[in-house]
Amino acid sequence: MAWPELLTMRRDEVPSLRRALRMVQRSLMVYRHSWMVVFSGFFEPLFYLLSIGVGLGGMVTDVGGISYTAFVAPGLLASSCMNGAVSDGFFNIWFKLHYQKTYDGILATPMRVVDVALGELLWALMRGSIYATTFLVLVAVIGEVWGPPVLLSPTALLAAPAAIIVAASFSAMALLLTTLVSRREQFDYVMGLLVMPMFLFSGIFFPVSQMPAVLRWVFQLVPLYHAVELLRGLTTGHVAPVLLWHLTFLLLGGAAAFVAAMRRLDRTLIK
Amino acid sequence: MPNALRIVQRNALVYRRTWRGNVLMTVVQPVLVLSAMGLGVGALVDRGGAALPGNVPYLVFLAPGLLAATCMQTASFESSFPISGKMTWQKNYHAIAGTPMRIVDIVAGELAWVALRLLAVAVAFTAALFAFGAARTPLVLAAVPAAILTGLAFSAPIMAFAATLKNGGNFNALFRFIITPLFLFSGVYFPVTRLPEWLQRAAPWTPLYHGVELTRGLVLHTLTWPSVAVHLAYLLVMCGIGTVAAVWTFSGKLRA
Amino acid sequence: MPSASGPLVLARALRKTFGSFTAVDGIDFEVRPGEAFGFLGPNGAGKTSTMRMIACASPVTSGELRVFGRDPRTEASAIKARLGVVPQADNLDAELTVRENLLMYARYFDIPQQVARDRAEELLAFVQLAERRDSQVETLSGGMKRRLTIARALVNEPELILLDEPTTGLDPQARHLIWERLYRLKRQGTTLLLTTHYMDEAEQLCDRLLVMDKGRIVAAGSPRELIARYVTREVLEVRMSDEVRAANAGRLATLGTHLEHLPERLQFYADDGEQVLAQIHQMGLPVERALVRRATLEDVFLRLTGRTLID
Repeated sequence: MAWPELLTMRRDEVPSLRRALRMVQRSLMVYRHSWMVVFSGFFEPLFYLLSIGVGLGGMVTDVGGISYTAFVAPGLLASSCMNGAVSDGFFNIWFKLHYQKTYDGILATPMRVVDVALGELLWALMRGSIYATTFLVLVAVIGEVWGPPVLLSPTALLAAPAAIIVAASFSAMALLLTTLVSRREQFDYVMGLLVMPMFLFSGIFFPVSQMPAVLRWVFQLVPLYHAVELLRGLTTGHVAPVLLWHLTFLLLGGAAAFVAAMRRLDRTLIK
Repeated sequence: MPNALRIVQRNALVYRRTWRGNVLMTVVQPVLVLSAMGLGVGALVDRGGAALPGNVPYLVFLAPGLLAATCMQTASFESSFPISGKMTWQKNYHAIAGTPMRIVDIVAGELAWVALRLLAVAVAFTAALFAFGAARTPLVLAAVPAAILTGLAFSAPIMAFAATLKNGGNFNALFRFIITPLFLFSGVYFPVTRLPEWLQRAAPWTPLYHGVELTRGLVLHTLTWPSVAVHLAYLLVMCGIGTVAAVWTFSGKLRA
Repeated sequence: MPSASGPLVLARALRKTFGSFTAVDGIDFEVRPGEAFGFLGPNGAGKTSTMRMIACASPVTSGELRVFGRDPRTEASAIKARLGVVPQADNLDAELTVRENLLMYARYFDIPQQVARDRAEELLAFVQLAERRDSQVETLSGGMKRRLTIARALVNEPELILLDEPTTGLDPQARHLIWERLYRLKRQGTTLLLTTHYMDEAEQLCDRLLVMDKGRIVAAGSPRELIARYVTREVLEVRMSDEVRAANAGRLATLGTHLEHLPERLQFYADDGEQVLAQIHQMGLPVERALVRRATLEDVFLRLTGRTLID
């Protein structure tokens, strides 16, 4: 499909928020029985923070003038947004789309593909945001109560809405990924070639400046890198115009991913 | 051919479909993690000058423990969803139980298969170790069986548990609250001496701690014979109890 | 403005192609309000493709299609709001319980919460699934899942229900229960549009039939009309040895109105099967087995295409 067509939306395709919220209502109904699965999702970044941020961090003096804990925490915040998006945006939707054929049933009603896509995105976004904001609150508490302080500036308050934008962007990208992976055997490629490298090398655990300069431009394409830089800038108070560039990348990238995802879903579901 | 190996043969047949992605993960994962954590974070740690046991660079400290921990993770994945799926949805075991294969053959066969997968993981990891220059002595090779044993010590009890699950697999709690915390706090990324007092005392009761100490000790040549015995004993006992439990739960499901 | 008494579904030269493969090759038909209309044909005849086009689930390749007087290309949501769909493969929501499936489905139609709850209870009673309201969908048998799918299709009180092979794969008891429920719906005034490759289903349920094969219409009419037009009233099935068959082929061909050679038997079409059997005995030919029965739609299909409905 030609890229221009892929990235534009016709008037009759504008999603209806009211209908999209039905998908959210559905997810709430599903998780009413297994809310623990959702709730437990935010423990992982917390454990990572305590282990690598604090346990390992004690062996690191400082990174660019801030404590290792304060360095790692915003990175883990960004990754918790990504994890929420991957588990709900990718795996869950993939199974509904390719195995359970859940959406076929829903599309026999006045709901359209755009409504379903937006609805699933909203739920993934909600989940990611819940993880992110609870993580942020916990991090603040840990920092104040046990020290060293993790949130170093009043701009850290902006990290909450920023995290929600990050979650939205990742959810859209995960949705697009769902339409690109057609066989279960390809999951390993997704985890091994995409998610894991991003998690390890986007500047969460060590500054990207440590990596060979030739890779510098590659990073501009990695969404998690932008998310980490944006959130770290806000929580540490290193606010500079470049943060706007990171924010723009995430917004535009997310929007483009959503439109492309919707197009591809259309082709998959309406044959 | 011993009956148990038939299970291995069957799994290998199924593996033909997924082996490419799997091999990719097996080979790529150690390289990625050792680069990022061993080199990337390692640079920060070494700069800080903190004392690590054996006074080695962080990469050398990290690698063997990570090997054991990766085996734990692989073993956990391979022993949870596939077993539960075969028992509940596909009813493979029910079909096999109608043949001369005994329950003990089925369990032994599945454990043998996991051991093979762990062997691949351990070898790939050890190769990465050599490539990164983190292998100080040839004793590194002894780390391979130690890591496989660590994995099996998790595999057996998890299989026992997996067989009992009704809905074919809510392992969420297992991974979120047991595997991940063990992975992060058993001395892989930082010595357990940095943990709070009460957690330090709890550590020797957990399996990965022993796996990490054993593997790292072998590679860094820092172990005494008594401690080797303790770590080995713990892992073997866990493996044994787990296997017995697995035969018990499998029988419960297949003989009903 | 769509007319209230015109056909609910209108198709002219309707075509559906997938790349180089033509699933539906230019068909015309009309479905009138209140009738039970059936597409009869073997697998691959184009029935499901046609149904999917009517359900706005598959875009029309060429030709004209109007549902409730509206064009599926531009007014899909308005059409779907008045439609009920029971697809061939169940696509129930596996993550929800039986009752939740009905509740959520009602919400997709913008039916208010309280009305949705009441209707869910009524429908569960209608398909006899009330005791299983809190069960997970995976725990239901095939027949129960199909009943739930039918209940789901009724949530919006549709004027037209599309059923694609509604009883395929079900045991006889489940089939009869579903047929009975469908009769009830028909008596209440709902229009039924179904596809099937079972001739007993077509004969029992349908007022009018469209017989399809390889994407084309081969015959149309009520079951009785089709039988009267294309085959005789009775059929005599005879088994005899291959030598006897071959040696007497000429003589046998003169008996009855028409003779069909099948791999394992002969079928004589005649208004009086017993008479033909008597004639065979008179010729002194040894018969291994003989059966006289009424002609069915299966025979119509065989006559029209040379093949059986179930392959």
